[in-house]
Amino acid sequence: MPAASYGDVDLTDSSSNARSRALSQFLASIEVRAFKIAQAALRHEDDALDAVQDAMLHLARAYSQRPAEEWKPLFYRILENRIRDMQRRRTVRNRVMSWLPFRADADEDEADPIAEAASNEPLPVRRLELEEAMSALENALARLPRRQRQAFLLRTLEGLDVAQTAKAMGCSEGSVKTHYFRALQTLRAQLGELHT
Amino acid sequence: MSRDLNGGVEFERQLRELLEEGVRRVGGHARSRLNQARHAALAETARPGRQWRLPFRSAAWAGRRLLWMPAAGAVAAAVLVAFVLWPHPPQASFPAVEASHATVTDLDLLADHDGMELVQGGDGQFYEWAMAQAESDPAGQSSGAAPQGQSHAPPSPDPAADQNSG
Repeated sequence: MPAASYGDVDLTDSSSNARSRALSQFLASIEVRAFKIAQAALRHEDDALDAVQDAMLHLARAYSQRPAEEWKPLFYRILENRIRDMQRRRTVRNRVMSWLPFRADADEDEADPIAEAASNEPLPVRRLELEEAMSALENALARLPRRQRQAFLLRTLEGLDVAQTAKAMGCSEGSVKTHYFRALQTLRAQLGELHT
Repeated sequence: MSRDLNGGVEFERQLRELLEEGVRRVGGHARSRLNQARHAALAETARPGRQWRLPFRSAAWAGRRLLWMPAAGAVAAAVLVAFVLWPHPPQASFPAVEASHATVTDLDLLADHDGMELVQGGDGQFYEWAMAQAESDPAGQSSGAAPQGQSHAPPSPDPAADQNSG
């Protein structure tokens, strides 16, 4: 049974305006987390933003008329497909580039020297510890197998339940539990106890 | 499960906190791009018939697209050169060559007055003879000497010519 509302929007209101507002609320609620999930997989901010944008457009275009409770798993499934496409394209590009005589890194954005400049302000110890822990977590996440990372982030960061995660990943609930548990084991082995 | 459940739960909580901290630290530039992307997506729902557009592509994406063009051109050129230079094994016959050969034969026939007479005036005897020749000497190495009792002289399509030659 489809939910009759999303947030404060009554979806029984048949006007497309109500559905558009509901979709806007939904996208606003997930966009930053989706970006972090894409970034953990792609390790590139602009690529992650492009992936999230593509997923938003695809969802809005193809699935906005679906029941609102299906949006989240659908969105993350689309996002994962986009991430995988980008990773494949990147692999092919790297192979081609390795054969070319010139090495073109022109696609990399030039770093902003002001933003990159080290701040003279001494970092508090607490903040430094946090930075280190986050950096270690990002590296560990990048090393995780794709399905384990996906299960872990959807469950931990996005807060999807097992059934929703299974829908988003296109696998069984048992597989989600297995991937999630293995991801936790691997992260614990790599990170040990975190100081947060 | 024999693992330390309390430790496991605590570890998960720590990871969740770290991830949340990462979300809080997402910068203004990324948030602005996400906001633009959301509005672009909502605009798409309002105009379902429109072609897909991705208006807020990053400069890096556009740069990569430009970079791909010469790379794709170079690959296409390399494939073409490889195809042209690759040693092709000789084929027994090419239909195009056969067709051109046939055209040349036809031209010779048309230009040759005697040949036209052969074609137009013959009643098929010539062709029967030619067939017999081919059957008796499949290798095409006829010495020109006809076996005894068997005439291998081509019957002339023109009886007058026979009289002249005799």
